[in-house]
Amino acid sequence: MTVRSKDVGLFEAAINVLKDFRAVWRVFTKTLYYLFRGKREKGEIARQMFHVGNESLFFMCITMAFIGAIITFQTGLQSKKLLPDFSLMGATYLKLLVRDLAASVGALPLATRVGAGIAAEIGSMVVTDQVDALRMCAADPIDYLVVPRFIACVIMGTVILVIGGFVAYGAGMLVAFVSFDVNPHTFNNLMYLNLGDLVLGFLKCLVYGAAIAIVSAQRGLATFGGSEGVGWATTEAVVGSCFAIIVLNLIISTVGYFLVPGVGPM
Amino acid sequence: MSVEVRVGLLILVAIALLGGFIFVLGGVELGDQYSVYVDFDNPGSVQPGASVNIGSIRVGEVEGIEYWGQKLDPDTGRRPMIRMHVRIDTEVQETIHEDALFYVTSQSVLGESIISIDPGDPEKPHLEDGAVVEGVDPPRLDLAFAMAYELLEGMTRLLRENREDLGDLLSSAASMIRRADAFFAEHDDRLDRVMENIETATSQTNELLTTANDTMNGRVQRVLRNLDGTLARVSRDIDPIMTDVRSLATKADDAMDTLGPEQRQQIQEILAEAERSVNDAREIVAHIRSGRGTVGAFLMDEEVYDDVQEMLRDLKHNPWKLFWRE
Repeated sequence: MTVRSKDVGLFEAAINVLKDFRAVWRVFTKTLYYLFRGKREKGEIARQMFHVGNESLFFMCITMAFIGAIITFQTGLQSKKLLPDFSLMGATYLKLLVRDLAASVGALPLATRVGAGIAAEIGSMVVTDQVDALRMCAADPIDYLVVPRFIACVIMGTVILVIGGFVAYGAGMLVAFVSFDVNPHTFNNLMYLNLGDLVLGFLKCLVYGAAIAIVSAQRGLATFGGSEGVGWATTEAVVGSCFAIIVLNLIISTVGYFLVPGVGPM
Repeated sequence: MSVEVRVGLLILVAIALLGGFIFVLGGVELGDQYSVYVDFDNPGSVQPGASVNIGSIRVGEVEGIEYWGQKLDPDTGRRPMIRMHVRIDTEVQETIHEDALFYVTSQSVLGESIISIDPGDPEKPHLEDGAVVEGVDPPRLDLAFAMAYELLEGMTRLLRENREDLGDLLSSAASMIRRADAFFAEHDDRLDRVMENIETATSQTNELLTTANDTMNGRVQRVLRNLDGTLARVSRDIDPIMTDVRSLATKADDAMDTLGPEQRQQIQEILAEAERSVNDAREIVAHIRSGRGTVGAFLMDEEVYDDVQEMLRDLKHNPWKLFWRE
């Protein structure tokens, strides 16, 4: 990743990004292949789902609660300057949350925790030659290492982001009630929301989970140089996952603006 | 508890949350609903799915909005521009009557447009399923703003194009006001007196009118009554009078028709002679009144009267003087 190449020029950095993208794409295609053809260790997917989902639940709930509270508070402060009418605060906040923030903002802390874990785990296996041992046994490390984490991230990432979104909404409702006297019944307004927003948000959750798994696994598999290399791989996994989330958010939001029914200006 | 169970429970929680959210978002109505169609000329920004409220209570939703373009509806005889399909909970059907008002309002200052219902007279029958009613259009704020904008634009153009004239007008007005102010300041005492005089005159006029009213009121009323009676009698008798006049005129015409030219000439001569005779008589009377002549002296002279009276008195005492002169 470009993070390790601080002394390279802009053109070389762009070339590195393209090379990284090609490497990530290769891992992604092979993951999809082994998703339907591969053989996995029994119980491995459940263990990975537990690591990604259950063990991240508390961290994600706390993080999303703070994010929801901060967004609501700042929104209320700013809108108070324009128009002291908070009757639509909940409706606009929910629209924003379902359409974008719950998935995109929630995926960033999830990437820091889950992506770093995947990269560190696979990177450690690489530097200790366990991955080479798998290859010597005619087992593709993508089938044995990446696919279970991919499935776990796609499913449990979505689960965690959905729960995190509800937590953020609840925290926002609480802050609106405490700070701006907005009745929870008034705040709980679905009038601006439609099924298209929900589809778009759900799609983002699935894609972000997959992106975290693929980028982090690719960084782990590309680890070299011992324990320092594992550290670099972990950092690059987090940076790459966050970068992928932001780029994918831009792409999905743009495509969704035109294609998904009901998604558009409020 | 195994890892699989824990993971499964977390997934179930997420599915339950998401499913419940979709259920609420879909606006699934558990109770029965009936349809009412509301005609509008311009329903504003109401969209399908908008809430239908009575007071602040949601009792239904807008199912659809159809453009009719003033096409004739043979059932109602109306030509609606927009027909809105509204679904209302059956449990409130008994409370919405035939004269109910369906109008467009908003949930808050910047809120979504909704349909609000004024339920109408409880004595009237309730609205049936499939009824078509006429809605109350919301005020056209956009039109009002457009007209206000046009007005302001016109005023701005007027001010810009006639700046010098308006400046002259304003300076003239200011000068006139200054002069008027100076005039009032200079003649303050006199104006006070004038006002006092006007006030006194007004008071006196009022008193005079009151007195005249009291005095004349009965008389005027009597006159009016008499006039009214006279007019009534005239109105009653005018027909026979007019009949007699017409008959008299007809007879006079007939009599005149019987006369020939010679007779008319003779009548004119007779009338001329009569006029001359009357003039002679007037001259004689005037002669007598002036005391001239025997008759005039006898009638008009006091001395002759006294002499005659004395002669009669003397004859009464001395009747022999009729036969014998001393």
